[in-house]
Amino acid sequence: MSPTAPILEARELSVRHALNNSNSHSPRDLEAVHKLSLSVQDGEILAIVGESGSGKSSLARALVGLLPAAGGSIYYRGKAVSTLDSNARNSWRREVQLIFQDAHSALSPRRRIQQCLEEPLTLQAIPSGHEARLRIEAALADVNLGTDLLQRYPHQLSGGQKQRVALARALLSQPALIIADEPMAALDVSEQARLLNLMIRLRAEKNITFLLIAHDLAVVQQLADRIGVMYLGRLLELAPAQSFFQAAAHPYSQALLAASQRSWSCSTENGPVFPGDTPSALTPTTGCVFHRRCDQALKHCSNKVPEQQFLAQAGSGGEPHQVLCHLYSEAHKR
Amino acid sequence: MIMQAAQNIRDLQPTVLSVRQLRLSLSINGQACELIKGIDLDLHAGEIVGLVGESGCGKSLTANALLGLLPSTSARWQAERFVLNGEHELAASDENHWSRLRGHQLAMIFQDPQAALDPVFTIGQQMLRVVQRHLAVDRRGARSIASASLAECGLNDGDRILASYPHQLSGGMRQRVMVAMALSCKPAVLIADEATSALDISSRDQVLSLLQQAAKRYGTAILLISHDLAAVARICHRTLVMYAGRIIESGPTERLLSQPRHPYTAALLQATPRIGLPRPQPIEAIPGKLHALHLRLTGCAFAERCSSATDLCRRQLPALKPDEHAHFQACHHPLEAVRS
Repeated sequence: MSPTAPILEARELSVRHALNNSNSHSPRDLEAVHKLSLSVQDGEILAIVGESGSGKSSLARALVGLLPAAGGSIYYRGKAVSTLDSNARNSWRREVQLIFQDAHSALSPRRRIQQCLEEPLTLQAIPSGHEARLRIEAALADVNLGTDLLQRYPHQLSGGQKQRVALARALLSQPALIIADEPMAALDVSEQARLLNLMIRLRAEKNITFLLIAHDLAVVQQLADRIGVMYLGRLLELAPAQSFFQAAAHPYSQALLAASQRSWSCSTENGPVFPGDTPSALTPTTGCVFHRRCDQALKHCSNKVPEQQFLAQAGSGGEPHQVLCHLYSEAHKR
Repeated sequence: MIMQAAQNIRDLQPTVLSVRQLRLSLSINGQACELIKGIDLDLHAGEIVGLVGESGCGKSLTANALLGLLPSTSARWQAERFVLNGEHELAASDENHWSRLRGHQLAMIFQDPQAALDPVFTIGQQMLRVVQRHLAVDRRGARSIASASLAECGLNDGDRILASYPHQLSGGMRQRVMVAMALSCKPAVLIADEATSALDISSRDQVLSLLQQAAKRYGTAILLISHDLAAVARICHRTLVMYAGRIIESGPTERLLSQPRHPYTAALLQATPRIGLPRPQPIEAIPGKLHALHLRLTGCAFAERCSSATDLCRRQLPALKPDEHAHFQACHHPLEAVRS
């Protein structure tokens, strides 16, 4: 990878949601993201996968500043965003765009598509007129949509079209990084393939970096350069895609892979791959967050927090394969 | 193995739902448009049948028609035969009759449990209402049926769940509550409309296992409507592929997914990402888009997107024909079947 600063970086980032529980007198916090470090390199497609409740969306929102960081910090092109002056802050906001899972609720039902698309231009002080028109047409062409739907309302578009309008709206800000929070969750396979191809093309043509949040490993396998696996606010594994799909290290990643592969094996017999429920982020866990559902848990997994381990990687000496698990610690290997 | 099971179920178990030539028209801008164009469906006790297709092909309309849920003001639907568990002529019955069947003989699970559960009532209030409506039990009896049903769905902490409001549960738990509610009256037929599409992989896994268990234990026949081919591959004995309001291919799941005969089914499989397969660039998307359901076509509806379409395809509608493996397909130029 390039020696320049990553486009966006989180260092020990924590995100908390205050819970307003009338039954208890002491206010409680739910820690959605726990001291998570992650850097997004220029031009890559990084995918973060995890179950619901793993903190993926909270991470995405914190990275664009929609949620405050409760701890740690976010660096945009090597500078902490908390120290940016208002000009640099605006360019962070413009260059890092977020698209949401539910494109229907991301578009105002009372505005025509044209009005939705004019808004990012207004923020860039481009008045509606000839230039705005050209830019909107270009953005629509980028996502394979025609100008005929500019006068329509969101409810008159299909799910796939709405998601592409959301992407066009993000493109109008001329972003360097697009954070896409489960953009294809509600789409059928054909629309999904179209959206994935679009991301691959935008990366190739405009060098746009993508942070893709998803829950389906089969989908991210199609395009991701690196894969991160989140569980209860922690990044359990982060690896180059090839290395991840050949040799996933964390027992949780292995279980996720097994679950997506097993879906295809027709069978009438077997039960679920994962025993039990995802533990609530409210219940304090000691040791490794995954130990209760882990089939390879060691004795000390329940009381000792694992540390980040870097695995020696076969072949290319590029990105490291990191894993948060006792099985790979020096002490265990000996 | 599953093919064997599929054959056994169809031979040994009675048919619980039998529908012939289901047709449905909606009035759009004052014009009647036929959206479901004659569907035949047989569900046997304990059988799980998948119904797949792109969004907009009519899957959910079929589900709503089977549940009698379409508004009589704008929808007109008819069937030559509509028999549920020995009760005939359901297509003509009134809302009163339907509401006695729904939730009892005929249960459903929808895609979004958040929207299907009422946010202002506890899970207990909602579940008990279903049980007391259909079964002759008092409150206490209903409560124990509800907890037992929750426990079967892996929600052992019945009292706490019953006292919870929907927002206090996670998405996966809410969907399992929906399954428990649907199964509480031991329905003959369960229609699951995209029941696992909004769930992540571990919750999806659990819900699919629950459906499998219900089919086995109570002989509930399940229609699993989904665009997720992996889910269908995992639990369905038989699969129907729908395109533009018609069934265009059907057969034992394993056979249909490994040796699709209809080009549309093959394209659908190509567009579905699978781990372990090499990464295609670009990812195969089905070219073009589903034509609007209300347009009248003389030929095959897939012809305009199909690479092997000929004049015959545009002129004449292909009929659904079986081969010797109970594998039906409606295509003038089917893909070669592999001889085994």
